Amino acid sequence: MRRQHPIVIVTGFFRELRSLLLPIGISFLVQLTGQNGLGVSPGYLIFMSGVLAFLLIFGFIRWLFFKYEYDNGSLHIKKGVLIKKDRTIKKDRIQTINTEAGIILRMFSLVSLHIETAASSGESEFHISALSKEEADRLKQRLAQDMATTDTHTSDSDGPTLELSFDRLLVAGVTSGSVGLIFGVLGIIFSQLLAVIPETVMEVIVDSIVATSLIGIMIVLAFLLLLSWGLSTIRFLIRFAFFTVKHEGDRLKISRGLIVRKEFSIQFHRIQSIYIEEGVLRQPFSLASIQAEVAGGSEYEDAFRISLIPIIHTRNVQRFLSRFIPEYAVKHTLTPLPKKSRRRYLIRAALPFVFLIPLPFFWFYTIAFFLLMIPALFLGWLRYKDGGHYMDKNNLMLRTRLLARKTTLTKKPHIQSMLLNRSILQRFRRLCTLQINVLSANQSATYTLKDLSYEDLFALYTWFGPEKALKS
Amino acid sequence: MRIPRPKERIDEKAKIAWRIRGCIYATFEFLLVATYFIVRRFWLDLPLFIGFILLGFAILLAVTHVLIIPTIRMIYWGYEITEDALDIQHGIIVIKRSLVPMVRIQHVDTEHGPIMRLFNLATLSVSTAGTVHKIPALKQKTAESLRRQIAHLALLSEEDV
Repeated sequence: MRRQHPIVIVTGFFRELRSLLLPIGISFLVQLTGQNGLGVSPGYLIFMSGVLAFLLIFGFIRWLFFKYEYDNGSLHIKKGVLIKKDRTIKKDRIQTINTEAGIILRMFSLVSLHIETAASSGESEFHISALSKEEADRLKQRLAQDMATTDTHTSDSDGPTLELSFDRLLVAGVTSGSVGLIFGVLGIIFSQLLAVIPETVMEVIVDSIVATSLIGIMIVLAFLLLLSWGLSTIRFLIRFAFFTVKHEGDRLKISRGLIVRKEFSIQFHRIQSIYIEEGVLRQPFSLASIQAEVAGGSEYEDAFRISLIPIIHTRNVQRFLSRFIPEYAVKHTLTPLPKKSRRRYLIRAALPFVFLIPLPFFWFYTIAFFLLMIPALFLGWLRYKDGGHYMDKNNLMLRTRLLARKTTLTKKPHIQSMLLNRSILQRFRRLCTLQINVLSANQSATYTLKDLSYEDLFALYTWFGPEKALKS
Repeated sequence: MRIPRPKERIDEKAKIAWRIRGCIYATFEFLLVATYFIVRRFWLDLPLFIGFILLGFAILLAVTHVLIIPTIRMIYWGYEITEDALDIQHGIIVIKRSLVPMVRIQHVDTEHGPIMRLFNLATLSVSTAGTVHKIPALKQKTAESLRRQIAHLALLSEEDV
């Protein structure tokens, strides 16, 4: 039996530390602003170093007890200090092997190995946190020899490959639209900082804000927005740096990441659906991203949505698909939503704001009403205009919009169930809502398209429903 | 262009079972209202008219739960099992039509709650890899045979592929 490289004690330590960051940070702030004035009590320091020492020792013990071994076509893993776990995995049950290397691991040219089996429950995941690159490759090769769906071309390197250049990535990052997320995080950090800032400084700040009034606040907000935009771009660049996608036999190989280098290997038959997303910031420039919903358990950071390409010009989408996942390169003409559903889309979008009915003497409400209602109605109209579906013998495509326009394509065998719903009001207007469930990870992903006509409903029913019922 | 409603109906006794369940809900609602009046009488000086509004609400809810919902639910409930798919229709305000291909079905269970058991009824629940679909209030024998039938069909269609 082998042990992992001892560096896992360090990497494990940092991982635990990261998960404890919030409680430690909060307790530190509480200490800092406690009743003794600014400063940290010695007892707290002793306690904290105790916690850190415990983490380190625990990591060491865990390393000591983790052993693995490969022989006779199966991989054994022994681990656990108090609760012993002994796991065996047969190589023909293995679906994918992914490697990953963080900054510490790369310094020692090590990788961590994730092994997934066919069962989609979390229990069957294998995970070796640090082993040398050569050993990982050797293990990979030996396991891959008899993988469930072996492909002789697996080690071929002549499949189509695409590497994103830095300027493309930069464009993708700037338009990635995770500004809101970072903005929220910044907001939390700032509100925490407020507690630490001494009162005198606080007074000056408050005075200056009150003095400059609305414009000052606007400037602060704009600054924060710009800052979070920059940060979100940087975050995107770090995650997607050196993005490469490669077609290899029965799978796609995707690698990306600056600090943590991630490598995914996706077998085509595990892809349940793909979708093309045109974000609000991207659509004006005809840019989109393509992502895939992949079945099977694992610990990918994006849950089970894997970016097949983070940025692509819309005119290249079909070419990309036919080069990398030809199964999903479907020629299509979308059936738009019926005219009569437009009114429902507009009303639905406007509904949250009806309480702001313009009142003659309350100018504030009137302004807010027009400021919110007009964009809402516009969004509703866009949703109506973009909504549509397409189906042929084997494919179903839905195009919807929440904010970003999303075109989902799935195969008939991947649809777990289909729901055709009609509310009272919809029945009155002879409309229905389509909902399909597609497998993703352990639960299902649901795609919904509202207000299709009864003709579409009938076509969908004949496409997916029981054959017998219609004949008789 | 109309899709025919699924041919099979669930057992008529389901309506009575739902009414009983409605009665239980209603009892809880009335108990809540009673609590308001008791609190008002002994502890707090709460306005009387709110109590009456609550009572009105409770009566309205009781009527919908006991009389209206079971009737409407019965009207729309229907199911059909063919060789290739399961077709279920149900709903009160929104009529839901679920289509589940036999190939996608992973397992079938029957289960019976206390009220349903009183009437010798069972619920059939059909699971795919991500969703669960239930047909309530089937005669226990029917549920049992349907379970076998679906399991059989699901197995058959799996061999087909």
